[in-house]
Amino acid sequence: MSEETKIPIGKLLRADSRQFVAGCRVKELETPALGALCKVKMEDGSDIFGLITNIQINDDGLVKQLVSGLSIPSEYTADNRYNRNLPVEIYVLAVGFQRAGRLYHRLPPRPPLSLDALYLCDDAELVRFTNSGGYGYFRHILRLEDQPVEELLVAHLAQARAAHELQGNRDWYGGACQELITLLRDDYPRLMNVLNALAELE
Amino acid sequence: MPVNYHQIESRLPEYGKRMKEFETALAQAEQVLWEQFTHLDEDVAALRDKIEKAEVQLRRLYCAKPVSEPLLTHKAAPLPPAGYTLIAADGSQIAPNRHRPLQFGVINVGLIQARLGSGNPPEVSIQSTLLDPEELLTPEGSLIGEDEVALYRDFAERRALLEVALAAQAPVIALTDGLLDIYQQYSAPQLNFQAEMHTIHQQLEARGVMSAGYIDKPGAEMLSRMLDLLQTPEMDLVTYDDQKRSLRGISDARLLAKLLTMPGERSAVFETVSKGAAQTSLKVHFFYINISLGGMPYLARVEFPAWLSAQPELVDLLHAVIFQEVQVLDRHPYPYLLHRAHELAVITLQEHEQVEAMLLQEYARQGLHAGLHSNKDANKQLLKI
Repeated sequence: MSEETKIPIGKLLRADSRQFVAGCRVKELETPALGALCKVKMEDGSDIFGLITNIQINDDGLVKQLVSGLSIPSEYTADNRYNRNLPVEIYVLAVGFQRAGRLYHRLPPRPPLSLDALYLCDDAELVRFTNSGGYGYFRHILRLEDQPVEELLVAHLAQARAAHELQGNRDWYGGACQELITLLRDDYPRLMNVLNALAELE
Repeated sequence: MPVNYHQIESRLPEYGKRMKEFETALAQAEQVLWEQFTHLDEDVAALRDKIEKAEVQLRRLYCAKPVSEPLLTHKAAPLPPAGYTLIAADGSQIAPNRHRPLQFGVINVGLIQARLGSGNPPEVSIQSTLLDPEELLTPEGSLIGEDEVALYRDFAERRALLEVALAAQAPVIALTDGLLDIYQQYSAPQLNFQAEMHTIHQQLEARGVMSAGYIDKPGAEMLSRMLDLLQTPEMDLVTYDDQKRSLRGISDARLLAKLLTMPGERSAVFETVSKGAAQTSLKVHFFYINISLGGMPYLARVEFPAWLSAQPELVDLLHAVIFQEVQVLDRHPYPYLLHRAHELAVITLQEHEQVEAMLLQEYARQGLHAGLHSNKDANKQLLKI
């Protein structure tokens, strides 16, 4: 799919150099998933890449009242999901950027701006990003605190593994596991948590 | 400066004592009215006859008149049909303000249409209208106020409802917040919507659309006025003066709370008798409904056009739909779709200022000079910081 025909999954609410938060409506929530690679296209032609680390469904006073309602017709549930202005917040961890056709697994020089569009990367982009420069972007994930890093890794690696295997590359996933073992060799409890979580992919 | 709480607090004991006395008097009045209400010996036709005699003789009259059901009717809510269309409209407005640089008026109508039983989300729309410059002035040349703008708003709501309702799949219930009809109290010719309102109601009736006005926490005393009138000897009707009524302050809702004790129960259908300053284009019927879902009764009034009463199954349908609708917001029962229409229509302060900024830009484009803030308004803005 060309860049021009891609439909944004949300627009940026706020950002800093390490992460950004995009808002979308519930009806746009069918595609983004935990661990998915996405990107923001910058005005200077560069792209900022990130992984979805959390998706938050917001409420308001009316939703809170409806939750305790005795009888809510399905039409009114749909009203709250599709008509009301309650954005779903998508939290994205910055993991790299692309400038002049070259990919970097470093933090972007500048964060994206509010209302910039957030796009989901397709399999080709996912393979290209994860193949570039080894597994350097893993360090951004492992630096996360107060977040289920193991779950994020499993979600991301499952998607990336499938994309690589579709292109006939069966070694990428094994290399990713080796890299994680190396990175976490001094943190045995965490390594075990990660390996236990990854065992689900076997 | 804040409120002088000390002054308020020092008044509280005396105020509380007087409130207690006042409430005791009200409770006595309520009891007398209840006795009158439950001991009316005449049948409904005779009661109607007497009220109609008063209608002929009096220049001003505002009270209830029973239609056909016994006064002590309390009917459980039927089940709503499997499929029906519910449409709600609500409006908000910006009234012109002489203290602002520009005088302008905006009417915003939120409209929402749901087909219950379809599983589809409701269709929503917002209609925003800028009042024309000539609509902003009274015949005397002064700026119209909140009441006049509210008339424009009420009329815009009904017109919006009509547009949607005529194309909707039957059965259709069209709901507005407040009184069903627009009560005309202004002489300004541009505000005379009576003829158009009459046409709107005729079109709705021809299409079988059940329009209804929902009045939350109603304060009207139409029943106590009716009871007072019925206690008056026929020979004295001609000199009857509502302002000399001895039993005042008991709303219909307070009186009927003794009767409509079960959730969803409705009262008998009554007719609104309105003769005098507040003219209406429509014959309005209404019932009270207990919308509490248990515990103390909480009554709302539902107004609808008189033609519905000729088909009791339509009154049942309206009764069922209203009760179904208020249960959605069960902590504070109120029709869900009306709440949504309000949510769509409401104009925030930020939006008000944005519209003013748009108009100021257009003024500049046209080479016009906008006025200034009044000094009073400018100084008030300083307080907001």
